[in-house]
Amino acid sequence: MSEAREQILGRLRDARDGLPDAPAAPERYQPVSVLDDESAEGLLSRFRTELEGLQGEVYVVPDEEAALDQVLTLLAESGARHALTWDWPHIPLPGLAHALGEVGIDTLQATPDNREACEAAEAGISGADAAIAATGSLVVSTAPGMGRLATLLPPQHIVLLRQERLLPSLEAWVAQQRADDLAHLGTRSNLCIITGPSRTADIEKNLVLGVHGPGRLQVVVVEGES
Amino acid sequence: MALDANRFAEAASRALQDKQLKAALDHNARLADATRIKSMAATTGAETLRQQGRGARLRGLAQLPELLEQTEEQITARGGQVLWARDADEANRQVLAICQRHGLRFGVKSKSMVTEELHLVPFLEKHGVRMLETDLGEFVVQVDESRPSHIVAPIMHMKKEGIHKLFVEKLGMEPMEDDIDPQVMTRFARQYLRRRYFEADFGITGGNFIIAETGTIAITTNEGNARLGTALQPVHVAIVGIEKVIPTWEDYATLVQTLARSATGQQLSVYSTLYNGPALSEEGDGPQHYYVILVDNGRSDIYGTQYSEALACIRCGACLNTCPVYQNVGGHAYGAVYPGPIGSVITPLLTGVENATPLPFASSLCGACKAACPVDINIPDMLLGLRHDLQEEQSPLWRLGMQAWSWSFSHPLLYETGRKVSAALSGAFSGEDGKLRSLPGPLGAWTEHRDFPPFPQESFHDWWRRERDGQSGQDGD
Ligand code: SF4
Repeated sequence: MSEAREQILGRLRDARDGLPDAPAAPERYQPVSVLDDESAEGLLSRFRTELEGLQGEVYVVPDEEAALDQVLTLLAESGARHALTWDWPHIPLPGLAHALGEVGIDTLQATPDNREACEAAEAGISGADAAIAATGSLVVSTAPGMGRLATLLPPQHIVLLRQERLLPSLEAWVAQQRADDLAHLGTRSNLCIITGPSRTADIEKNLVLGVHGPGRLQVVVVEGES
Repeated sequence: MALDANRFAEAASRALQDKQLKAALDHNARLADATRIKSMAATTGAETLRQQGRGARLRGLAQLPELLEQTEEQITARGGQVLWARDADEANRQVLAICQRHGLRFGVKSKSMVTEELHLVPFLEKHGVRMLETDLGEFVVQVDESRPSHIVAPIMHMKKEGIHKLFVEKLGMEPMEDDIDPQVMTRFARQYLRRRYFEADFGITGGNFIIAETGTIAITTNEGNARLGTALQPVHVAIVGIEKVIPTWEDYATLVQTLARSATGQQLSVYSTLYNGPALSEEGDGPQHYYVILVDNGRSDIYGTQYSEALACIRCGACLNTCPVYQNVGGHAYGAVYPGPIGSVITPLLTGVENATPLPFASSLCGACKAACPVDINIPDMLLGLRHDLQEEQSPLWRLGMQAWSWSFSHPLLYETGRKVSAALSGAFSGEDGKLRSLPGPLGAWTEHRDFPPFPQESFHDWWRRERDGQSGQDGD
């Protein structure tokens, strides 16, 4: 072990007596954002309100067929011809690959060797681990076939989400991970809680969307149980 | 631009006469403060949450050595490498060694205060490694060859006209004829930076929190620059102060949300990114190599002292935005990497009090900083403590000068109207070298603005405590 490590830890151990007392961890943490209505409809309506407030877009569809139509419409509207996607099994919409092929949209998945092609894609398509109603957020995590770039590189990001993945709060998502003994978290090299389109207010507090990440974030929520 | 906190008086005096700066601060700092206040007013049980967040930070500090060991164990188990750095030089050399090991020549960096503190970028550039700032504000600062003036909003001191001029002159942007559009400038920066993300062979980030139980480094951005700057490049180096540790994910859930609310009034920053380790071998993107450098650089000197609480700071910037002194003089005047109220505490502690003697006095002790702080750090008390420490060491004349000076920040009438504070300041600082040693001079100028009050007969410390007790209730607790 390094000398620096031993020295730093030793100094901290020697000095800790002078620290202010720390309160014990609360048995129940108060959530930062509270929800009045935690019914399925309540969650969906709050999620929509929050995300739309950030200039994200939410499309609620009754079934997979309608979801396919919605994705094609969104791509037709933006004029995207190339889509950077997660591997198909990770996007909860069977038939998507086929549907995109039929309308002549090229699709690709990121590999370490196709960076330039990824950059040329005008749209990214992914799923999400979960969505958070109180803050209008999406939780994505990485695994083979579920890369960072599809959620990040193209100016348009379309997320397919099953309504059952909608949770009330960030705290509820953490509780879910805790119940799983943080096992899911532990297998991911990277997670990201995405709350709205990429933005800055650095220049005189003016809001500008799409700085380094997508300026358009479109979530297609498929209602009901899968 | 060299940093010199001992020239605060002179720099503040200059800042007060800078009309452009005044316009920028009037707009930016006050808007940021108002946004936070609005967001907190809309938060249910804000005070409980504040104490919940504070508790998380204090538990992190109380178990710091164990939590750091746990962090290291977790990161190492996932194939990352943890390095420990006692000081800036050691940290910088570790980054350079990583660059040499992997043959890295060009890196993209996301905003990080600790790397500012280490002066990492100039160090790397001196050794032939090019670095590009990717946060829009930090990018502007880098092109401008200046320094950030705020820990969250680096170009709080600038107006859009200045940024436009910079982009046109230094980067060849097409000038805009009529209205200067921030959107067009942002697009320009996006394109300029996007190409370079692909050229870079490594990414550097800081870290807002270390979640010890899984060894996760958490970072928040709104632009997506940290996430992109660690998705395309084969090497990621995260540089984090040792004090950033929190025990659990529940603690993270509280703090990441209170951080966003306090910093920008958002519920969450757009990208709350969490790093666990290098990419798995079958992943199509993400870094193959992941390093975490845990930096001490003076923190263990603060740990366990009466100033320990300063280590709980989550760098939200709320105390800067709300501070009447910061609102008037801006960040550069402090001559320090960390400006504003919390900067006035940690700069003397990190760099040595003798290198920042004016900063503990650059405050009206009005308590706005403590009231704004999402983890309830008692900044006024620590400023007082530092004043006390300094007064023990300094000459009687110096003490008299500082008493007069702090009085000018503290007088209720002056405080009520920020402009009068400015007037008092510019008078008080007009001595030849800006030092308060030249007491009769500045005081002479000062009395042109106001009737001069009799010096309090009691010690400053007692006087302030009496004042404070008389005003309790303004503190928000
Ligand atoms: S001291 Fe408190 S208010 Fe100031 S930056 Fe730190 S956390 Fe924010």
